[in-house]
Amino acid sequence: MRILIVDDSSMMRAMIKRVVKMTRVPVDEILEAGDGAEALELLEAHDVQLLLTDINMPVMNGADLLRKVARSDRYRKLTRVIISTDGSTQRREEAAGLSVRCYLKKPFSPEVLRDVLTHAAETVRV
Amino acid sequence: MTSSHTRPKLSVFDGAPIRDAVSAVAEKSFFAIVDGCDDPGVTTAPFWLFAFVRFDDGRTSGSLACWLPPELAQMLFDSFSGRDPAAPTPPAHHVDDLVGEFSNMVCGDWLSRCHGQWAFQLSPPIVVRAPRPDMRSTRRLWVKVNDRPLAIDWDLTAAPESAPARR
Repeated sequence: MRILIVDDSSMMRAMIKRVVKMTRVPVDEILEAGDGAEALELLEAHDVQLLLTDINMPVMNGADLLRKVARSDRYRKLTRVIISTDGSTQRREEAAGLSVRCYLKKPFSPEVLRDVLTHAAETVRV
Repeated sequence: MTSSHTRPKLSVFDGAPIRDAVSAVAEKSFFAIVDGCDDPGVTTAPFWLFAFVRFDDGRTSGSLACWLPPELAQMLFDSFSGRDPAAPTPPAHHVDDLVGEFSNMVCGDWLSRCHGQWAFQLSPPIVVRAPRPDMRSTRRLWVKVNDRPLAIDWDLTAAPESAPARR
C-alpha cells in the first residue's frame, strides 16, 4: 500500500509517519506533501491507496484537494482521511459529502491515530 | 460531544476555554501536564518563541498567540518527536514548526469548543523570537506546562454577537 500524508507542518508529517510504522499495516511507500497542490502532483504521478490530509494549509487547502479528488474518476478507490484541528460540524458534514472515510481531530493521541489508520487500511484491502 | 447549549462563548474576556484547549493539546499530543500559574517565575532565556495564528470562520475572526520559553519549546519538541534529549540539538526551523503546530492546535481546539458548528480557516503560523512577554498584562493568560510558563494572547476582531453572518 502507498500512503500520501499532506500537512504543512513537517513535524506533524513526521509524527504521522512514525505512527504509521507502529501499525501492522503493510506499507510499501509513504509520500509527503506540504499542501494540496503538491499532493495533487504526487497523486497523478503515483498509485496511492490511502490519503491522509490536513485541512488548513497554504496554496491549496485540504478541502479543495478533496473536492478535486472527488471530481476525478481516477481516484474513486482512494481511501481518504482528514486529520485536522477543525472539528466543526460544518467541516465534518462537508467531509462526508467528499467520500472521506475517517475524520480525526487534532489534538489526538498516537493510539487513536493508529486505530484510525488500521481501520482505513482495512478499507483499502476490501 | 459538547452540545451547542453548553458550549462556552468565544470571548476576549474568558480565558477558561483557552486554558482547556491548552490542556487538551498538551496532554493528548505532548504528554504534558498543565497547571495554573500565579507566578511565571524568573527565566534567564534571552528570548522567547512567539507563535501567532489568525482565524476566520466567516462570522468571527481574530488571532491567538503563544509565548514559550526555549526550554519549554524544546521539551514539547522532544515529547512530540520522540527525540532523545541527549541527541544533538534539532535545527531551529524544526522547533519553530513544532511551536507553530502547537499554537495551531490550541487555536483550533479553542474554536471547536466555542464555535463547534462552523468550519474555520487558520493562517499558517508565524513563529519569531522575541523578548519575554510582559507579565503585568491583564489580557494575557498564563499557565504552566510541565512546570514551565506559557503565555497566551488572543483577540477577536468581530464578535459573534455583533458580526452579521456571511454564510
